[in-house]
Amino acid sequence: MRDLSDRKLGEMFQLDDRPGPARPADDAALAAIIAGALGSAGFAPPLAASAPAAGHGAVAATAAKSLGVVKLALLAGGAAGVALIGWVALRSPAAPPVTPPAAVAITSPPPATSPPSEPAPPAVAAAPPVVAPPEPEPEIEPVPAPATKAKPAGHRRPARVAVAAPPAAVEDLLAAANAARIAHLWRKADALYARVVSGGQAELAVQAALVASASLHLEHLGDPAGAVRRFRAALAAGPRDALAEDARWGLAESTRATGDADGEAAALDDFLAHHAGSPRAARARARRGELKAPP
Amino acid sequence: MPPALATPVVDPRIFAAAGGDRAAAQELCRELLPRVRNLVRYLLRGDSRVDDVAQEALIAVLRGLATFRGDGRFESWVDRIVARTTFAAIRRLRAETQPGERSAVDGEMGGGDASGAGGEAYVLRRELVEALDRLPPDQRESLVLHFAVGMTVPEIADAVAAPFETVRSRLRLGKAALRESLGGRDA
Repeated sequence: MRDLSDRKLGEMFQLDDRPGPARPADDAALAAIIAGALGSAGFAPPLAASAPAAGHGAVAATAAKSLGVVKLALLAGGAAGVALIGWVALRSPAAPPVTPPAAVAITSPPPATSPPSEPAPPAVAAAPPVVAPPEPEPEIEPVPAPATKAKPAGHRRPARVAVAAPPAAVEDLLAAANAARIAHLWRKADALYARVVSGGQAELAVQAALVASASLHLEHLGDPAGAVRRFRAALAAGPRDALAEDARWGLAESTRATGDADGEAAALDDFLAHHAGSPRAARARARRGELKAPP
Repeated sequence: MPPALATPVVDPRIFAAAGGDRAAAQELCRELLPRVRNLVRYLLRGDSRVDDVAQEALIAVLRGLATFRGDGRFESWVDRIVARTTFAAIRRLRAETQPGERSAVDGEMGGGDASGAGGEAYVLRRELVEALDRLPPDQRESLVLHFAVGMTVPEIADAVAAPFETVRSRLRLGKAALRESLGGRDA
């Protein structure tokens, strides 16, 4: 028989370093909770390490152009291709552009009626044209991480990617995540985005990974509440402008999916307050009107 | 007399975070979050809202950092804020529920995935919290405040605005129910 004296009950309830009773959460989810809390508590989002200094006109112009590439990727392909493109384009304004021909299209964005989930033809053209069946997903395969030790043949990584492993290059992780996403390996992609978020060394990459991960949770993993947390964290964690439109739009969609009408209305108001000129603004206004209408 | 004995040492990150140092606040959050999630789960029925409420609790902790005077354990101070935030969330969730509908906090029971995700301690605590999920909210509240947060009966009575004898009765009934629920099985 189990000893259930008061002392034993006290030990069972103890809030110590051992796990439980809360279910284990992945590192991306924990990072999203923290980032959202910091943002809501008024801690200013960190500036990107490579953000251009104010007053450097040419550099600022390049950064603005890079941001345009990110937005184009989102308009054309939703968040599917945004993480890699967004990070590479934003991380260093002085870096050579990765999608030179597509960048021309910034000046003529696609019509507002483009569904956000369509493929992104020019921007993600470099990604391998993988055609793979959707779910069920296979186990997570080894991630390209140069610093990891060589594994014996036949070794398979456990399903949860070890975030504590030596960090792979952010670009490699995001590229692998996007490739997994194209192959409809949603959980694998999410685990890779989680490694970027947990790494935390590049705020812009973290923001891009949070937006992409949030979209996965909303669209493919059946977890709108998780998407809400990640979009909020992206807004709190990232630079002020980059990807904010997509994060705000995603927040509105996610709150709608959770059935939180008040939250959705607030998210739409916030979206319209910040992005009144967005191609999505008309849809946002229409939906806002529906929410105001009596049932 | 060594000063360390007279003056409790307060983690400097607490003051840094209270002064707006994001990095210090982030580190504190990383350390506190597992504890916060566990306490929220002890108080909240079911798993689905734990992370949302834990985030609310962290926000409350961060906003209240400037009021921490350092005359007690920081974790105990955090626990009390977490408990208050969770009670407020539970009340809100119940209030949002339409008449005749089961609220999110009442409608979900802990699912049994005590599959060794974190060893024996995790399995035991999942069993414990699933037993708590079957208790009336008042008894659960008193048990968690007493055993997890370490509050005395008068402190609980003050915190939940209930008479001393009522809290003592809830504790007695709650312990009996837990013993009945858990005690018959081998550990």
